[in-house]
Amino acid sequence: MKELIEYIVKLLVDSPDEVQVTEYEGRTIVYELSVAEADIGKVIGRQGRTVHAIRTVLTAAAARQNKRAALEIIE
Amino acid sequence: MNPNTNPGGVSFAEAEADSKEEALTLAFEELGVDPDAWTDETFQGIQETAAEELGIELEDITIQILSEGAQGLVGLGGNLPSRPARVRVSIERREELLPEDILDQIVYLMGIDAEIYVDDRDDETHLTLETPDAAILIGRHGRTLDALQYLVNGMIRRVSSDSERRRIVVNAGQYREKREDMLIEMAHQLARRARATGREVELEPMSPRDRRTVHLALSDDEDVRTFSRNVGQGRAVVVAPRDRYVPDS
Repeated sequence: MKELIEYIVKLLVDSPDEVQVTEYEGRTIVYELSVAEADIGKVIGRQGRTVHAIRTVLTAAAARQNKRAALEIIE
Repeated sequence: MNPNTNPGGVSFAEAEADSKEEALTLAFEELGVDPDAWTDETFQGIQETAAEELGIELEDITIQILSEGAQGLVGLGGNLPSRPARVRVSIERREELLPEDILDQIVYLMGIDAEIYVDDRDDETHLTLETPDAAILIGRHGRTLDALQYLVNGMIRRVSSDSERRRIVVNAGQYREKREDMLIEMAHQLARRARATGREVELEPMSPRDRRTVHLALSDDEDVRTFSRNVGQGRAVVVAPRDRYVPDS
């Protein structure tokens, strides 16, 4: 699922090389996403719609494996 | 692999081995296919695996067999020396990142096995996912499908320089058709209610596409008129009784 987040985010930002996803195992797998400062707005989107859509897709992928996942953007 | 850092163009490789299959494998490895990826070792199978690994279409691979190769033969006719097989492979990476390729990769990374059918209609491109896991891709009230659609549209808008961009519609398990039928039925039901009560009825906020479906469903209804109210995420259709002109009798 880390690859899933990376793939999606890299296609949304201007600096794909600066996209970093860190995975923290737990009851809920937490993914911390960091992107170039100038790209934060692109990942969040208007009214948070983009990050909401990424989370929805991530939740579906996690449910497929009977897992739970959360995505946090770190600034 | 990030398609952004992978510009289009043609690259090629040539390789020699005992069989043309082996030579083909070596050539593809030179072009960047993981040596552990091979499963099907037939000539066709190798191409298919390579296309998948490289993220390109089968028709973007050109193969020339420079020599079929020959097994060394010691026998009745004397000695025939063995000759290696030689192949040359060229692959073309398309400049343009296609919406179906993006969706295909996302769904694959979600761990879902799906085929994508592409259908261009007017100014829209419909991507239909055929999969036994349609329910997962649709999600509650179509939320996952809408999320996929939103992301693919956003990505295409970003990477495509094309001035006439097409709207991408993502569909699975006939969800969009069922939703449309449901909306049309609901529209008629609400029109009956507006007519019976003489009061307007406001629907839940909906996407522009869904609002359009409701407006169209009632465009021929002489008893009601429809319009949209509120802005942004809260925009909703209102079905109102039409003030009818009552002729003198």
